[in-house]
Amino acid sequence: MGSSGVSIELYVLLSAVLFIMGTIGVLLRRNAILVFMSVELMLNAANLALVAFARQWAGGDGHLMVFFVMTVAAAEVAVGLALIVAIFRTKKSIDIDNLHLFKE
Amino acid sequence: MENFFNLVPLVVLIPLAGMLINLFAGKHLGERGVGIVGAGASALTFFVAVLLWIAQVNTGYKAAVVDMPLLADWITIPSANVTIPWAFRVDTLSVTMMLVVTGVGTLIHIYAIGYMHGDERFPRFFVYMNMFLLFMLILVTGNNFLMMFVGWEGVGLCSYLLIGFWFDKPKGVGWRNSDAARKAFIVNRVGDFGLVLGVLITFWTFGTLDFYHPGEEPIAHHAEAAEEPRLFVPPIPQEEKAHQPEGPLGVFNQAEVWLEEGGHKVDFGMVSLSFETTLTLITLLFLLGATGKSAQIPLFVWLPDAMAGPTPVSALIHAATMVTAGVYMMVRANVFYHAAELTSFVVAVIGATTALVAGFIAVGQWDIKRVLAYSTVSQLGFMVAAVGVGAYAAAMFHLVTHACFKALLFLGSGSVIHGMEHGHHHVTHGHPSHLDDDFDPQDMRFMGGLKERMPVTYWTYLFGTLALAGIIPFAGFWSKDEILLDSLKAGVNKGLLGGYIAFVLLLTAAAFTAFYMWRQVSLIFLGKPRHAAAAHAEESARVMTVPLIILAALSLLIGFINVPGGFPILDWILGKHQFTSFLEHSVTYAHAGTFNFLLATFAVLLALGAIYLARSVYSEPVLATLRRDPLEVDPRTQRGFALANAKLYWDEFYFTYIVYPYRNAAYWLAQEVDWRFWHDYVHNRLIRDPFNAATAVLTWRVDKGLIDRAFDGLGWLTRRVGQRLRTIQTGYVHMYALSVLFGALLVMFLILVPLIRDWLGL
Amino acid sequence: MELTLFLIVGAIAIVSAAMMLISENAVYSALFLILNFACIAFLFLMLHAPFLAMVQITVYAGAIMVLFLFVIMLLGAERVVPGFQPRFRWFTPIVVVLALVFLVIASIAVINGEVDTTEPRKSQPYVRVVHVLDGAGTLDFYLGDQRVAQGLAFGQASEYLQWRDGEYQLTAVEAGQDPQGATPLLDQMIALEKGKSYSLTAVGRLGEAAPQLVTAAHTLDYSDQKDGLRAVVVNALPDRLRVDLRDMDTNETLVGALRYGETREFQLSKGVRSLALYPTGSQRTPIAELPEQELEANTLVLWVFAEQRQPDNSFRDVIVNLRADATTTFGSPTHIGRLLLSNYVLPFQLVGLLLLVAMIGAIVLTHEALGPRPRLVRRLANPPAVVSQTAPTEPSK
Repeated sequence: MGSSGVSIELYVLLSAVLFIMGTIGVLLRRNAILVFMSVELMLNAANLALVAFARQWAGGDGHLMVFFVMTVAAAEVAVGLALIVAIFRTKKSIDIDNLHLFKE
Repeated sequence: MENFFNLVPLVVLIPLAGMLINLFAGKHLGERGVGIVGAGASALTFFVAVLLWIAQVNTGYKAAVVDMPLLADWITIPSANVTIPWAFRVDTLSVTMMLVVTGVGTLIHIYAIGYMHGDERFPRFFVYMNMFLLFMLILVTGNNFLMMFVGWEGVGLCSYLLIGFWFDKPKGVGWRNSDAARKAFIVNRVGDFGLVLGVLITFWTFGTLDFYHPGEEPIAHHAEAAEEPRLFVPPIPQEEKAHQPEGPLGVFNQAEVWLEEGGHKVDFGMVSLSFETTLTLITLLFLLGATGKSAQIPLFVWLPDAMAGPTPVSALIHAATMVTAGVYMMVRANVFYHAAELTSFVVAVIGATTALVAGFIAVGQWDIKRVLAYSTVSQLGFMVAAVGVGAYAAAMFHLVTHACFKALLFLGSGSVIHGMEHGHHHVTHGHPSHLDDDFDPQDMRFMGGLKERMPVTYWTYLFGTLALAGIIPFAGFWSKDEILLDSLKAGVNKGLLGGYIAFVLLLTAAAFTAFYMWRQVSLIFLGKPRHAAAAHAEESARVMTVPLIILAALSLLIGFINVPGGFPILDWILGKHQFTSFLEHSVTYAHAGTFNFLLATFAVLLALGAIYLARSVYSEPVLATLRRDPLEVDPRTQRGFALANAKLYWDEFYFTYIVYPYRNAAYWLAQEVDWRFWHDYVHNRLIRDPFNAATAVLTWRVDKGLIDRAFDGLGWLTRRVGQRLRTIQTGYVHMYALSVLFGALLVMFLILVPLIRDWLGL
Repeated sequence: MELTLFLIVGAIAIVSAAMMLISENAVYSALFLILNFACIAFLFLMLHAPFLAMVQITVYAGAIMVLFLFVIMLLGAERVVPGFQPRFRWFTPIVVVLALVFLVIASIAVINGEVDTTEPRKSQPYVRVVHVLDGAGTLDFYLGDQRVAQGLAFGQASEYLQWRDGEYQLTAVEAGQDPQGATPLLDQMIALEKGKSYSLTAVGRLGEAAPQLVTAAHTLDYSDQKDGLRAVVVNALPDRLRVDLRDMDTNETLVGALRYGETREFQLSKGVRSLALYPTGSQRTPIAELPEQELEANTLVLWVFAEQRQPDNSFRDVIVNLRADATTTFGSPTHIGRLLLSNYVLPFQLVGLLLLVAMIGAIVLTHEALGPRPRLVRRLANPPAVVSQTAPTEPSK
């Protein structure tokens, strides 16, 4: 087992880096689809951490968690993209900075 | 056959259904429909009553107690261990009452279809009538005093509604309709006050109000005289009478047990009375109730004025059924009255006095229905006196026969009134001007000679008169004779003073009865018409005359249900005192009378003599030119007639000594105590003004000055803070995402604080 | 080697993520994201999660990203929005600072955290019981207070159960009897260690040879043996002092001189084999045979040599053949599937429901009839001007 050679820490750190990159995407990009993709990146970073910890603890629960995260992400993408389509139809734009209807 | 007893809730439910149908659909049914529903409900109830009677006969006269569906736990107070079920009692007494109420009631309902024809409140009338039946049947079928009280108050209400049925009618003779209704209601309240007190004391004494609990048989603590063999009705087995039920007893059996044991005390908190004294108290209070409902001295004054209601009402409520409720109640409580000798004496004296006084007043009345009303009071006096001398069976017997012939007489008078109105209408139609305006279709002075115009009414009226006068073989003879004989026997055999008094007074009253009845027949039917209306009067419709004929037949025949033992031939054919034997199963102290040929002959001769006297006074020539009563003219009887005509100044007495002082006291209380002292001084000066002053301070200083300011400031503050805070809500997604990230980092940092502390070596 | 691989793949992942962020064209971004997902899938493989890697490629990089691309193309939204042009100038520095803070905190957490990242933990032991106790009927087995097997017949093995490590009393009673009240047929202490699986074999013959427990334990090793398998044998023949197990075809002795009550573990190569049991030294007649066994690689088998009482009360020696895989391979589809259908049935159903709702939601949101709606002009809150300023009036005296 110990032969794998790559410490779990490295995986977790990589996961953290990807996660914060996703966060930056969410915060700085104005294209709604890009924001969405960044969210997916964040989810994947979290998944990576989960799998790494599952490896560490030799338990299957982490894998299941990842599985469910993927499923929820799929649902989220379906609804989110539908929202984007609907918004685009009305506003002819997917710039999320234009979406501040509540403020008006 | 026992299953038939389960039908007994129907006697209440059918009139209820009829009432509800007419109440909600009466407007759409039309007169015909309303009449069919009303009379049909009554007839159906009569049918059920007959079924119950048959069931009684076929089950050996076993009393049955049937719970009302859904209302079995009518009043249940677990903490006080009080259970008063809504239970019906089917025994011979209640079946008798049911038959009378529904039988006579049905005929009167049918009659009313004709009598009330064209009235604008036709459906309402039948609603009230069915409601009356409902409450009357609750009264007679209830197995406890409280149910009886419910029925008692209910019939009082119906009586009030029906007396004032024509509340908008202008004032005629006597009282205005609405005033008469109020008078009846208020006078009855006095009696009901006694009854409800009696019921409460009964409950306190016995812990229950049930007459008998289910399955309990009446017990008597001394056997009556040896029974004679009966033809139709099986004798009561002696061992059954001696059988002592176990468990908690109903009031009557409990009373028997305590009387047998003797020395029982009833604790009333401050005072403790012996059981016998308590019984006397209860029965006297019950008697007060009975004097109200059954129109006895001193509370009889409402009944004559109650004649303001439509005639079917007078017949049903104020002659045949409701007013007998008091008699029924006392017969039901015969165990109490039998034990309370003082009360019995009072009852006998009150009843007999009432009979005589009312009979006397009846002689001096001109209004056709008033005569009958006083006659009713008089006959009720007979019944009450019978209760007083212990002749419970005779009282019930007279109740039954009286219901038939008095209903007949009232309906007959209604028919006469109807005919007179018809004639008046006929006459005024052509010549509206030349007739006097003070025409009253009920005043006998305007009648006369109706025999030819209204033959059916005349003949049936004659039957009723003879029955009331007590002429053999009409019904009244049998019942009146039994009462007279029983009161005499009570005096002679038991040495009761009340018996002698009752006998003498009742005999006199019987003579008066015959006299005023013949006077009435003469004034109405004999001679020549004294008014154009009478000359053009017409016989009533078939729907009215058929009930008259049926009732006339009953007036002739109903007496044969209780032929006294010892009467020649008839007692062999019809059996001896069948009705008494029937009643004995539920009325513990009912006992059969024997026949005294001497007394019967004397009574009949007395009645015939009175009739002869009346005939000679109101002879054909006198009737032809009648303007004033011959008795009024004759100096020998002038003063007596004046007294009778003025109703012995009874109402005036009450007004002078009770009503006016009461009213003055009430006025003084209202004006001086309530208004000037209580309202002006205490309320306004002492309470309102300081209160207003205090509220003024609170309003302007505290509320407006302090609290309002504070909340206004709070509102201002909120608004300002809100205005500042709104700028944070930019509405841009990135801002929200940034704050989420910030928050997440904060949380992470907080989680790692201990770690960082370790790391930094702190 | 692996570290190198990790570093290369991780670098590609970071670079592709960065490219995704800075691409002006949304299509490029999506393609870079797919590359990133592929890298992550590779990392999943390295972390012994083959199933998730597969799902990552097919579902994520495949289905979901195709959906993204489809929407981008559908809306023609490749370049409609400028890249990094936040609304407020101060926004970008703040984000960068916060990102750095996050990285610092995460590093602290990973490096100085209490997470022991040096060595993977061993899992709790798996345990099962095998009943070859001659003369006994069906039996219930208890480990400590808890039951591990119920109504086990001769020659049967119970399911593997995961158990906490520690010392336990194993008792066997007649099926249905109360373990406290009845005298146990077998009563023996055993110790369970982490990272191992145990086949507790009840051997002996009632009345003659005292019943005893043979504990066949082996490690839960995930190391792959491409063409080999492991076999564990237990001698439960009280009458045979020593037995040999031979391959009938090659006449190779696989196990030699196995004593009664002894267990031994050995390696085998895969393939079809016919096995026979001989008394040690004897060559002629096998006492029991196990013909034509297909032995798969990367499995574990358990052979118990036992004598089975025949209906005529004579004995016949048999080889009880049992699979002995305590666990499926970690991260394999079987493993995930078994977990899904056991412990995670309810979440699985809920997630399915969520997907259904999402499906309906997507349909409702993009439905034509609900399409372009008029701009919302209704005010959602009271502007301050509307707030009433009516002062309370004094009532006239």
